[in-house]
Amino acid sequence: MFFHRPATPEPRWLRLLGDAIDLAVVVLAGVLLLVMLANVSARVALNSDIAWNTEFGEFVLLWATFLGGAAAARRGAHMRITELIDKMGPSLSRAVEIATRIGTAAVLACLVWYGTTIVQSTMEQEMTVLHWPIGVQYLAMPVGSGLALIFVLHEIWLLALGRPVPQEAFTD
Amino acid sequence: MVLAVICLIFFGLALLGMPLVWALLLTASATIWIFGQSYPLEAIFLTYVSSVEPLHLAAVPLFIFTGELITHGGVGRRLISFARSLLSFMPGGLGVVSVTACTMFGSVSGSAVADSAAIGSIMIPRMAERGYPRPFAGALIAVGGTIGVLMPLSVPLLVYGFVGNVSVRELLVSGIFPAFTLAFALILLCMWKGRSLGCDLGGEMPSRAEIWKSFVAILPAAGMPVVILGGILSGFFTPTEAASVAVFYGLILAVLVYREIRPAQVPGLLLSSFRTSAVVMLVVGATGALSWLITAEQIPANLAAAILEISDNKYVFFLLLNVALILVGIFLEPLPSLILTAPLFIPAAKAFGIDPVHLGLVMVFNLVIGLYTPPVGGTLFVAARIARVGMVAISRELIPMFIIALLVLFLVTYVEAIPMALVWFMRG
Repeated sequence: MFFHRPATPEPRWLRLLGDAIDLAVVVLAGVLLLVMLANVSARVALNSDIAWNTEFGEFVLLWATFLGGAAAARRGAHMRITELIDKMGPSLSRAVEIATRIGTAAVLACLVWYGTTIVQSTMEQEMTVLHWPIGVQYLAMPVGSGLALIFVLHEIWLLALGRPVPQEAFTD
Repeated sequence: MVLAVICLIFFGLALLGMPLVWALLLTASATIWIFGQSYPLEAIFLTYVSSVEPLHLAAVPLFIFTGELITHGGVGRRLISFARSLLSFMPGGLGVVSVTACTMFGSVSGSAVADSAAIGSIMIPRMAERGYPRPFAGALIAVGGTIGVLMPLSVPLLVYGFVGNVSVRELLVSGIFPAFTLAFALILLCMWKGRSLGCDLGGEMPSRAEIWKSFVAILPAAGMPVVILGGILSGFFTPTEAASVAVFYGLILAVLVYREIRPAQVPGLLLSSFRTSAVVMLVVGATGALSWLITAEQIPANLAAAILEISDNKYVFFLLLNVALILVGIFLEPLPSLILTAPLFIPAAKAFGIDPVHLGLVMVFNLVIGLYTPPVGGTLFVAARIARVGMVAISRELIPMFIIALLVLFLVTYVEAIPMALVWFMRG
């Protein structure tokens, strides 16, 4: 199975939450692949686009991206520069790691707060073809950021206890 | 002043290890707060979310997933076998095979690190057995692996196109001649090295049956860039549609034809690809948010004016750009560097009458040099690890290759026809 099991075991509720996010990302990714291919097939075979393709595709892409961002936060896989903190002594690097994560948590909290405001203000607007509220699409931002915030708070807790935090290198 | 504060906050946070996406958003918010600007924070966050919304961005996860399928699908081994059957008779044959296989593999994977890992894991031990110094073999793979990033299906060129609103078709085509020029220069170096070391003089001609067998094995994979690139260039597919066709081609190839990936492995690869893509796309979104602030403050226009005051010669601009990007590339990976600098440089380049396609190719070429520039670099680490050599040893062997790469960069920058000839042809 593709579920992630970090070196430092997570509490059960956090593991289940992480697994649910991973599963959602896989399902959304699969749906996006099918929708994209269906549209290419329709255009090649029938010379016409599927009317709802763009709106539905954007909806799925946005949710897959923000949930994928939360999955990356769980693994410590967001792009970052570690060369300087790797050279610091253990106590200084731990203090810096905690401080930057507190900053990250503040940004994520802002994303949840302002994201919710944006969702509320766009709930009345409808997508042209699907007639779904646009707010449902933008809900991906506060939800994904809120989930990432949970993992960042867990990392702060681990750092405070002096335990290792997940760190997966980003490779492009 | 605003730009200086933005740079100070962002680089301060980034160097302290804050993930780039949050550092960018915090920089934008903090700048508004420090200068007491009247922009609502909702505008920053709305730009962030709407920058990752357009469906054409789906090409990013789809191409990354295709690269994963190709990397795990056994294509690298078959490409090496084919290149070996054709080219191992040359002096320095194994080096020539490595460079050629890297170029071909990159044209289907789009990732430099995957390219170096896939080809290096097979070729570095073979080159060492033949008598090449391990640091040379490692250095060659570290540089050769980056050639593929210039070839069509290049993820950095794709991302530049989306960030800068530049034609992806033209960008993908613009990389072909520069990639071939770099590959050709490295092949000449390998031929000289093979002769001077006396360990790989060539001369062994493979049998026709061997060539035919390796050709047949590679044929299904070779069809992929033909279908994808042919589809994009002929206008039959958009780049995003081509990406979805590439995924299904890659799935059929890896699961059904080569049978190197089991169906049960596909969800895991899908998750890993979309996670990587989410990391890239969220940085694209956060850069969009910071760019919104930068544009609102008219910083790109002021920057262009400041550079124009130094010189109104576009070649001087290119020189300054290259020096700046090489310095940035030493410390940052190509994708974040590209996403961060493109919004600043594109408007400035326009003021000098530089084609944004040419600019994009120069930027990507320049930034991928950072992948093998010590002390940090994706292909450098991968190649050094496979070759089991230290940074000092591999860096010494990198010097001639680094000089070659700079010479090719110089040509690509100042001989516009090298990247642009095919683009001009397409434009008619």
